[in-house]
Amino acid sequence: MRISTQLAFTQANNIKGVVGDGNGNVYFCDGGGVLRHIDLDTGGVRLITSGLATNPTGICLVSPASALIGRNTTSVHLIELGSGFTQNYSGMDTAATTDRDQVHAGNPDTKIMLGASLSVNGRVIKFDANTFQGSNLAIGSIAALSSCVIVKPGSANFLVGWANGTITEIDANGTVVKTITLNVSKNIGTAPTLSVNSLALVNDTLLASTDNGVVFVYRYSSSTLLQRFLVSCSIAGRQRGGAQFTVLGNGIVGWMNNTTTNNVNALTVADTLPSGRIGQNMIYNYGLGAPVFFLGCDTGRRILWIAHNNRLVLLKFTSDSMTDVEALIQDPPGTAVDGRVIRLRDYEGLGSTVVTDQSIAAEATNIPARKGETYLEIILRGSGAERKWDWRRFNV
Amino acid sequence: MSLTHERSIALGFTPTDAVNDLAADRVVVISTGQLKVFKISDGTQVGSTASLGITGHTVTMLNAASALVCSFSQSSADLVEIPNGFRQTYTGGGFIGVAKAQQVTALDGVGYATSFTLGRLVRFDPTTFTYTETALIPAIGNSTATVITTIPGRLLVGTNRGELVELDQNLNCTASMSIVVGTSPDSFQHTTAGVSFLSPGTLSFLSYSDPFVIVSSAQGWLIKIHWPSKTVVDATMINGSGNLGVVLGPAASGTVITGHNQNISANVVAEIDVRPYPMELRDMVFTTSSGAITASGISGGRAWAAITSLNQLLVFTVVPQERTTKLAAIADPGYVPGRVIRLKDSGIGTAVVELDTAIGASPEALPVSTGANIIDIALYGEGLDEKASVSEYST
Repeated sequence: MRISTQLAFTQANNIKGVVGDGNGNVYFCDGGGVLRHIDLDTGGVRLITSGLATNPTGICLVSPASALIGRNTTSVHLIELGSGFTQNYSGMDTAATTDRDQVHAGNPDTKIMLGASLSVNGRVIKFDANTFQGSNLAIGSIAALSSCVIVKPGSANFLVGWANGTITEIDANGTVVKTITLNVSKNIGTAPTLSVNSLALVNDTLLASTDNGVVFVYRYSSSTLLQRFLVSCSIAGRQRGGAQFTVLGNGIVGWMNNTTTNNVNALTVADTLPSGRIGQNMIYNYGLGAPVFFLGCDTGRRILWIAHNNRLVLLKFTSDSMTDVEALIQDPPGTAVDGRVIRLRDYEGLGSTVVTDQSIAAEATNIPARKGETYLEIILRGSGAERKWDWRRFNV
Repeated sequence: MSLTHERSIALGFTPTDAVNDLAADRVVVISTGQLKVFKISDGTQVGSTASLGITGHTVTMLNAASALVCSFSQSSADLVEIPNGFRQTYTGGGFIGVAKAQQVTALDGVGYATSFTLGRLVRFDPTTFTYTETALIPAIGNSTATVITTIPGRLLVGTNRGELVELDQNLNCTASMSIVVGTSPDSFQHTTAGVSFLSPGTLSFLSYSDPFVIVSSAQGWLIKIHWPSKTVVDATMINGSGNLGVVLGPAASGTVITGHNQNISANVVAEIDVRPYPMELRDMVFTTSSGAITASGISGGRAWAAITSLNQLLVFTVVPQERTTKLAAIADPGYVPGRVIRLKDSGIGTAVVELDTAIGASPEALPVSTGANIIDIALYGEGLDEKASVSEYST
């Protein structure tokens, strides 16, 4: 994946929240109480409304036509995006004031917003755009602050990260469906308390970023810890420590390593493999020398946005370095059969690495490969005395 | 391998650097004012505490009996006799490049430290007991040396501009490279206006695991370089909030011990296997409270890490991956030379490369994990005549 173009917008006030609808529209609010819209197809920016709360806690969509902005009080703005008509609703805790994504999560399909509570343990805030009611949800017996919330993809449920290292899946009424407690073994003495500050769920792979710079990777359905790795850890606690995730498409996540040294701010992209192993692909330097607060993506248009202070940057990315290379197993020749395909990228003289290890059905199956690279492909099928293999080398 | 915490040794001071003593099982730790030696297998201090005559920031063992301590704030060095703690201060050198670990090393008993002066090192000659700044080293040129270590028979210097310079004992350049992270097989980057993204910036720590050099940088990079070909084969962003990058200790069996060199809550001591691609974080242990890892290493089957705030030397039992050997041979029909790629297979989706090596025209015993399902791929011949063979077995 490469970044091909970028477009930067500089605002008079610091940006306080960015959200996209996946259909070419991005909305962002700032500390001056202004909500703006960017048309990703034209790059055009228009003012939706002004006079909003000057220190909003974030933005999310609660329907295709309306956004919710936390007011940094016990109420929220509900804004009709076409007209800018704004109505305030109360009844919930103040949302967390962390200047980052995932404070509010809205599901435009169900018209429910859940958000992290600023100061009440074990609670998330809720706004129901069907009934226009704000409320708070007590989540089990968690004695910690909620720190991030995302909509569970393809579901009406939400995933909530907590400041005590817990991740809960809850329904819109706050009923706990599933809980994962981050595995912090091994530890010396008392187990550390980590804050889950960003979440991404892609296919069945859950990534959780924590304030001490450790990213946990789980197979979500089985709660199996697959991998842990280190990223930046610029700010401890429930604020912005660790990386921030966004989902770029099926099987791919990206995150900003919030590095404040020497003007490096790295956007890393990873394919989530069946084994949960992360193939990282460092692609972008934000170069502004401060943590990125907001990160998102319009997958269909292959546009990322990142925002820091008063600057929002759109990045057009391409996957022109990848292409599909067909895998097909025939036995005998002319008869397609199923089997296992293992592909190794071959750095002749420098080693090799497994990049694909999967089953394919009795048909031609496209598997992505990187242009300019050399691959070894091993085919395995059958078992016992019927075990067979074949191989090929190809350049992409 | 895996790490299991064995003990925490109270240092009684804030560690600024630590190195393996040349005697196995012993680690030399310094603070800004003292030097102590600990036996890590039982946590006892060996010999006397040495009071430094300088503000100590970095240490190396010159030989089995003496340690050299250098300073970022003084142009002097301390020579400390181990284990009796006798200390002598020598002046006339220069300030080291950075106030951190891995700023001094020893080659053939001679001490070499980074220098705050552009293009130079500081040298301690144990035969004349002189501590002097070297002449300009052209290969370092207008850069500042920010990290130094030894690789077999050579010094390896990292600079503030992302360069690696290999020097012989006469300080002649035998190899060098400017690291360009964009050449990694899996790393691409976009250059924004006014920002050079091609260099990893100031190099912080170095580790050598033949044939790879592992580098961390202040920008947060962890980079793996195939040193014979000067090729960046892996580059990932691991941490960069501090000015020092992540700590890397000397490699042992392809493993380096690392940790955040900044004062964070629940720091980690992590074990990275640098042999596979991508490099693999095999195990990690969380610390109990905030603290920066200032130095790490492996000695005598144990890993260690010096941590501030707690002011401890954390010691870990290192459990190596159980391995045996399995004969590999390529026959067509007689033995022929070729290449063997050995995959560890725990089911579909899990295969990883354990080994990728050339073998000669005879059977060779190659390492393999025990209790594992293995797929061996043998490749031989070239071009259109290249052939392969695949075999599967359990160990």
